[in-house]
Formats: sequence, structure tokens, C-alpha cells
Amino acid sequence: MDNILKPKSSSSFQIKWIMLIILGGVLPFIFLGDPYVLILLCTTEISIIAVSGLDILFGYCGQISLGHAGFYCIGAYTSAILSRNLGMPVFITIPIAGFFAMIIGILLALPAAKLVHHFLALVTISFGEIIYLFVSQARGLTEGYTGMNFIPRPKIGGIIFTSNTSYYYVIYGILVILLALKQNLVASGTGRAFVAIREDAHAANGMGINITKYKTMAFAISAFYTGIAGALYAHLIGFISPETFTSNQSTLFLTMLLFGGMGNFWGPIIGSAILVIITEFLQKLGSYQMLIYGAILLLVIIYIPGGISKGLNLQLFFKKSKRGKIAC
Amino acid sequence: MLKLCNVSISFGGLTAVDKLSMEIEGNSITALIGPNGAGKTTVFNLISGVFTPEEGIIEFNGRKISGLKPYQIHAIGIARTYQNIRLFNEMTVLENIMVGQHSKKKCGVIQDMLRTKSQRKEEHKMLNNAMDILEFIRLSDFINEKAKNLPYGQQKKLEIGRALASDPEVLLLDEPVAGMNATEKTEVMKLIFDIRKLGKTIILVEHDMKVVMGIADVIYVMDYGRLIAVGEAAKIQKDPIVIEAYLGGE
Repeated sequence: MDNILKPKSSSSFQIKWIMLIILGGVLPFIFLGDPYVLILLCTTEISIIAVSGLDILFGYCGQISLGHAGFYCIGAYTSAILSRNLGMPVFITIPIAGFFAMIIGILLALPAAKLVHHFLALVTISFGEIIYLFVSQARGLTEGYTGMNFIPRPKIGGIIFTSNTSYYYVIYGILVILLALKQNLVASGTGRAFVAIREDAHAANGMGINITKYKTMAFAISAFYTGIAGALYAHLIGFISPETFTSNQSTLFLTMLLFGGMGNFWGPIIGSAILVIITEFLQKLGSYQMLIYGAILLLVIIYIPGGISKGLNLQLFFKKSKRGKIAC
Repeated sequence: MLKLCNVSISFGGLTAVDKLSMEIEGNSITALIGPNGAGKTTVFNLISGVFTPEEGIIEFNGRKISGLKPYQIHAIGIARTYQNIRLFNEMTVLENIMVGQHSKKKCGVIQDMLRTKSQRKEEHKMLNNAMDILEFIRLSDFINEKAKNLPYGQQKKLEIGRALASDPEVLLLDEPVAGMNATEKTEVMKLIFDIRKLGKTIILVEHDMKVVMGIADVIYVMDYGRLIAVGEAAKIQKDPIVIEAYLGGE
């Protein structure tokens, strides 16, 4: 019996972390700091954070959200307004943006935690629309469709992260921390409660899990991640307008998650990376982009329902390296 | 220790459970039998909090539990299994057992995310406890197998293990041997005896009379939502009202 215990978290420093850290750390050098590529890399990492948030909610807890652009938007505008209009330091406004998105997430969960299937989908769609309409109409606060300009980059002491390379590493650091927290979460009792709710909410309730509380928690954490991603995006581009936060963005997050694979470590990473690249190539097609995403989504659901990461059997690959290691 | 007083519930005019009273002693095995549709599973759903009785109260160790939510009832020590297996299919056998211990969990979500020392300690304790339970129900060979890949009989046993994981005082087993072959039935009967030896109280709904007569200390017979007989196996077998309910009178 060589498959003795392997609670996923227990070997604290696994091969995937080494890979991730090396890969992420080296990438900017491979492309010699090409600014265009760097922006793409930053966008990818921001997407990974947002999609990881969606993964906690949808992949693990089984609660679909078609309105995650709403949290992304809240995060972006909160951090932009606080840092630009009020002059607060960016390293403080980013977490505030995350927490503010989280509070909104908890408020959304009040009705959403009671709903399932298409009712939940509808509520989250309307949530995304409400946020979109709010930022496009509340001109005094958000400058409406004109958008907000000159959103500052973060600085600490005398160092300003103006260059894309330096900001890349800021995002990258946050990404690694958030991914580590996510891995801890899903390997813990809370993570098991999430999956139990996804698998059979009725039985989960019977096993002592307070469904409403845990669904709310999943919404809150998910919103926090996506809010942070939105804030990082605002400071990366320096300009935000409501157009970035339409329902298309929600669909894109969902496509990334489904394409990469739900409920695992690599899914959001692979999905985001590939979709960001595809999006770049499809830029010329304008509004026809959504057509392509739709086709991708359909093909993935039909042919590789587990997403690319499951299709490539990445899980199995990494499990092999862990074989025989006894946790605890 | 567990008391039902005049408990009733009806669904759209149909009285599923009608003024039912039961008194269950600690560390006993009680069987609830009756023809199909007699309301046995409804009684389980009432005790475990899925339904709230319209009339009457349910008391557990002197505390009123009717009206509490299922997760609250689980936390105070009443765990159950389901008639149609309701395992967490995509989770492993070990994870299923560990979900069963959820009520014992003290660490919050922040500690879980940061993997603090106390969280690791608690996780370690839950893991060891889960291993003990898997050994107890003899499923140690399938630790990392997904629940859905287990054969039917093992799934039934895993459900019992998951219910046992929270170390409950009362265990409600809904048809624990349904669909099993003779060997598996004997195994589960032995398991139920072993569980009683741990000091637990067991209530089971079962159609298999051999099993019921073989293990139950007290048998409650229900028909059309009402209690028609209570007593030991020998008495129940001879009771004319019970025979009539099962075979049809005249």
C-alpha cells in the first residue's frame, strides 16, 4: 500500500511551488523586459488572481457566479479613488479594495446563499449589471464613461514601482501569497466544507456544516481575491472606465476557469495564461471576440469537461512526485 | 435520553407522522419498522432537523431539539445516514470521514488559510481520528479512493463511518443493510454491535426482519404514520396488529 495519506497541503513545499516561483521570477528576463510582453504577463497574473477567486466560489463551493466583473470593478474603483483622489498609499488601498469587495460579497451572499442553479446565475448576472450601471452613472465619484485617469503606481519609501518590470514583481508577490492562502484553504476543514456543499448540500447540512455560513464565506473570499485583482489592474493600466467591467469580463473569467479546469491548483493559471494570449490575438476582431469565447467554452465543456489541467492529467503528474510521502 | 412527545407532521393533507411518542434509552439498539410509506424516514427527518414537527416536541438529554437546524442537531450529538446513499462523491474516503468531523472543528477560516500551529494540530488530530474510524469500519485499504468508486456495500459502510466521525451519542441508520448480500449483512450487523459497545445509542429503520429481530433491543412498529406496537422482538412477532399491518387483515 504505497498510497498512504497525502492530505494535499501537508508537504509544505511542493514541486509546483518551486516551478511556479522559478517560472514567474524568470519570465520577465526571458522577454528582456519587452514592455508589451510585460503588460501581458501582468494581465495574466491579475487574471489568475481573479480566476482563483472564482475557483474558490464555483470550483470548490459549487456556486456559480456570472457577475465577477462586479467585484473586479469594485476593487479597481475603490483603490483608484482612494489613491488618486484621497492620496492614500497604494499598498494600503489595494487591501482596502479587497476588503471592500469582500463586504459587498457578503451582502450579495445574503440573497445568493439561499439560491441554486439558474436562480443564482440570474442574481449574479444582475449584480454585475448593477455595479456596471453604478460606476457608469455615478459621475461625481467615478467620472462615468470618461473613465478615471492618472491612477498612481504604488510606492514604498523612496521606491516607486513605475517600471513595468518592478510592478510585475509586486503583482507576482501578491499572486504567490494569494495562491498559497488558497491552497491552505482548500486543504483545510473549511475547504472540505466547501466541497461537501458542492457535492451534496443536504448531506453537508446533516454533517454539521452551516450551509449559509459557508456559502457566505465562499462569496466573501472569492470577492476579496477578485477585488484585489481589480485594484492591481487599475494601478497597472493607470486608467479605468466602465467598459472594462461589462458582463463580457465576467464571461471571460468563467471561460478562463472552465478552460483551465475547476477545483485545482493549475486550472486558473493555465486558463488565464492561454485566454490572455488568445484575447491578444483576437483584439482585431472587436466584438466578435465573444463569439470565439463562446465557441471555446462549448468545445471545452463538450470535449474536456475537466478543463485543460485535467485533460493533460497534471494532477496525476504531480501526485506521482508526492507518492510515498507520509504526511504528519 | 431521546424523547419524542406526540410529534406530528403532515404534507399537504397527508399526515405522515401522527402523534408519535417514543422514548429511547441510552446505549440501546432501537428498530423502527413498518410497511412502505409508514413514515419511518420522516421520523428520522424530524429527529435530525430536516423537518420541524407541527405538533409535539423532541427532547434530547432534557433539551428541546425540535426546531433546530440539521447542522445544529449534528453538533449536539445526533448523526445519521441516508436511505439513498448521500456521500460526497468526488471526495476521497478519508475526506468524507473528515467532513463528518466538522462539528468538532474549532479553527476558523483565517486560521485555515494561514495554517497556524493550532490549525495544523487540529488537522492532525482529525486525521488520526479519521484513520481510527476507517480501521473500525474496515475501509483502511481505500483511504484515497473517491467515494463514488467504492462498491455499494462499502459506500453504505462509509456512510456509517462518516456519521460516526463526529463521535455522536445517537446514530440514526436509515436502512443500513438495504441491497446487501448475506455476507455484507452479517458484517454490518457486527459493525452495529461494535458501535453499541462504544457506548452509542442506535436507532435504525430497516426492512430486513432477520436483521431487525437479530439486533434490536426494542422495536417500534409504525403504520400510516401511527405507532401500532412497541416491544421486544419476540412480542412483536406474535402481535396480531403487526401481522395484520404487514399481511393485510381478514
